[in-house]
Amino acid sequence: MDPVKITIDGKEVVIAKGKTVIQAAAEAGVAIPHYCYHSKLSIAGNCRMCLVEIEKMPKLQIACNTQVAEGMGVLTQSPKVLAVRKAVLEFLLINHPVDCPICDQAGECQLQNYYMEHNREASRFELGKVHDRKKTIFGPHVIFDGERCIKCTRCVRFCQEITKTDELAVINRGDHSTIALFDDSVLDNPLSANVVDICPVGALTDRDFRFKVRVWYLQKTPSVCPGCSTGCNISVETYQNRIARFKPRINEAVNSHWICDEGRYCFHELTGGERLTVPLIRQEGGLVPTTWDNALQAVLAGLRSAKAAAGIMSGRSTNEEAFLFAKLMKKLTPGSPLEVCYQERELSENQKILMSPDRAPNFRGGRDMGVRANGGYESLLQKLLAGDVPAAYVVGEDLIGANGGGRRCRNFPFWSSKISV
Amino acid sequence: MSMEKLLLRNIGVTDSHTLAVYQSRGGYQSWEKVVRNMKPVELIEEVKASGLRGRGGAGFPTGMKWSFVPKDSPKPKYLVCNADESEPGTFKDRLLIEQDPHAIIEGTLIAAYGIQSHTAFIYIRGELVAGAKILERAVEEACRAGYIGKNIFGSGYDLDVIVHRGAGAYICGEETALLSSLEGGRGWPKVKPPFPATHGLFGCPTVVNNVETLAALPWIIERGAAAYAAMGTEKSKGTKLFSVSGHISRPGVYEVEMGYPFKKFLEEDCGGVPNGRKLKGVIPGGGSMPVLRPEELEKVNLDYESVQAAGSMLGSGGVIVMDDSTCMVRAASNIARFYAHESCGQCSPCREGCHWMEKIFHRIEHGEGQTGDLDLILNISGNIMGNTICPFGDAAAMPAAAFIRKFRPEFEAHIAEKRCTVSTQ
Repeated sequence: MDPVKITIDGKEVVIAKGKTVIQAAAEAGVAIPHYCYHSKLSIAGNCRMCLVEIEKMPKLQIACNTQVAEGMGVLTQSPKVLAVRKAVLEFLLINHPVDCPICDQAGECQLQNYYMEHNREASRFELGKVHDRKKTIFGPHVIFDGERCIKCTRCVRFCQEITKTDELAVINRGDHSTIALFDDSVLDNPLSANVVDICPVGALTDRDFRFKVRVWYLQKTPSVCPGCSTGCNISVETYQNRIARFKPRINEAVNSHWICDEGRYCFHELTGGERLTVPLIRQEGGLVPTTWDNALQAVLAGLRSAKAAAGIMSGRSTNEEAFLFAKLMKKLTPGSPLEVCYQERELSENQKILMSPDRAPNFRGGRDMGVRANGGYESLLQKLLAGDVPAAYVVGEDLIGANGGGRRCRNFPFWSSKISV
Repeated sequence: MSMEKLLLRNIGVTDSHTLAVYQSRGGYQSWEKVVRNMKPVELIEEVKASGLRGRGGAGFPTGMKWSFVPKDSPKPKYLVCNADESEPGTFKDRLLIEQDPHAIIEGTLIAAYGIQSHTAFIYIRGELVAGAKILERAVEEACRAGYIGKNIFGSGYDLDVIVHRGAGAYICGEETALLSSLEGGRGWPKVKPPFPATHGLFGCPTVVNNVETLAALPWIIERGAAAYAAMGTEKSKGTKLFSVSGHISRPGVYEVEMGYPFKKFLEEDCGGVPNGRKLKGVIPGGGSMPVLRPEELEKVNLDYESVQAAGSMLGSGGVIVMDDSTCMVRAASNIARFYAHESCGQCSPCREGCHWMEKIFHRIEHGEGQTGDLDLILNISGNIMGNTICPFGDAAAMPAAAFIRKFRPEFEAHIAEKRCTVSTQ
């Protein structure tokens, strides 16, 4: 594409032909306020917040749908533009309940932010507001407050264009327009909670995070989702050393702006009932709590007494853990085959948007650290099943369902219990 | 006013809606002439030369609109007849639909040929139940007679016509909302650009023409562009239909040569204001156009430019006459209520602003108006004007502002005395 030269508030910007004014402004570091525009969704042009003045054009134009043209002069701070921003904000707020004190979006709400930036005046609307449903459950993760909604339709477009599941639609007309589930659908697609992230206001909130903590108390740590091997970039948001939520972090090479619901809520496993919090040892009649010393001694004794052993490590282990595991096994049972546990699962078309068949985030890292056998995991597993290897040391995986049903390894209900841990 | 009727030439003739009567009066000869003797480009030039402009309200030159359709597009092209007549005070298209459906169909066929469309739609307003039946029957007749279908007149040109009923939303008269509705979606206007000429129905090149525009085509082909262009003014050619209603002696649909004096039209042709009352205001182009005071009518002629110079617009030609018994607060409130009810809710200024204005008009009308209300409405209408996706915002803002600007003392009296000072109702 040929580049074109335009000016934004007098500043010269060179940008590819075919781009829009709002994209050009973003590249030039000029923020144009907007609600309905989202770089990953189609242009709706309905919020009218991004109206800007284009020289030689009589009417203000929406920056999101105006393509750049050679020599175009864009004004984002002219009196006309500032006035219309004020007006649009006033329009958006006349039927808004302004219930910020009880709204989870407060603190990261674009209505609040833009109001403080561009309006800051008392509303002239003193008539009865339109009322709408305050808590409509859209799906397992998302709840809708119609009164806070500004009808930007980002959520509707997300379900049409990204997941292609069409659960949401706009119903009714005029100021009674509202978002609703289409027919009898439920917003339960694998990416459903992303609508909460793209909702610029407090209309769509996360049922899991709702009413837990005010967002300004959250400490944000950039990280990578441990939910599967896709490695979506996330922000781990914590309050008082507990994870309050995962939020997606933009990475165009991996996850764009989204994360899947499975990844988003997987942090609950950290505090969930199935996580081991004390060492357990298998005795007659089941597992009993013990001390770390006793547990490690039991492992050591088991491995030493075995004529041959195999080492299986979870794909959720870190590179450092894998390195140490390989080192330990090479010392204790030299020559024993080591492998990283690998399980594939079937994924639907929608799940494939972000989710990987391999649920373990670090299968490759473990193998690269030396936890690797000729023939791979499947071959080692067959050997174990055939009884060719009398003992196995399994780290971080629950292959035999010892801890509450074998959740991690339900694919192997026929697992031989001859093998001791 | 003695002039040859173009658009209304078959109105009043017994069984004018039937093919037999239409044919007996020269019907479908223009269509045959077009298919047999004219290339699409010649047809477009002819329509351009006639000076015909869109009769739906915007007055855009019809031939030029057709010429925007890309000829080399591999996509199918569509012609859509906009029969979603819903503008308050407008009932001209309904008359044609019910009494001269074949003229509309013939015009639709000619226009479709001009842009080389093989599927044409007639999108008719949901409430016009009888009209839809009449049109469907007429399309069937035309199909059976070979005017519609495969290989028309042995030319190899195929054309299908589908009558589609709307579900009763004013906004679906706006061409892109009409297309959304025709596609099976919510009747929401589309953001422009792209324009329908390149990305219209189902993303394909599309032309949407009003019923009256299309109904003028058979005559233009029959008599030639020059004959049409000989009528009217320099920029407004031909004749136009006006739907006259309200406080007027002879309400009805009139065909008027463009440029005819407005005042003469009202007083002589329509018989003036009845019952010895005085004229108070006239809306010249349907509910969405600014009202004019009697003194503003003096030099206005019925053409696009003259009405615009007077501060209003010719629009759909829906002339609403109000005599001095009319409470202008009530009239404004009524119009505001219509627009609040019909706003599609897509873009913020219109969705919120129309209702806001309506609520303020309502309270003024009911004796609860406050000082500052009038300036507030003017400010709100100014904030809507020009800032919306489609012209609906302007259509709601313009009349609201005009009523206040032109009849401000009456509004102020209404607020001050907390009651109507004009009407005894």
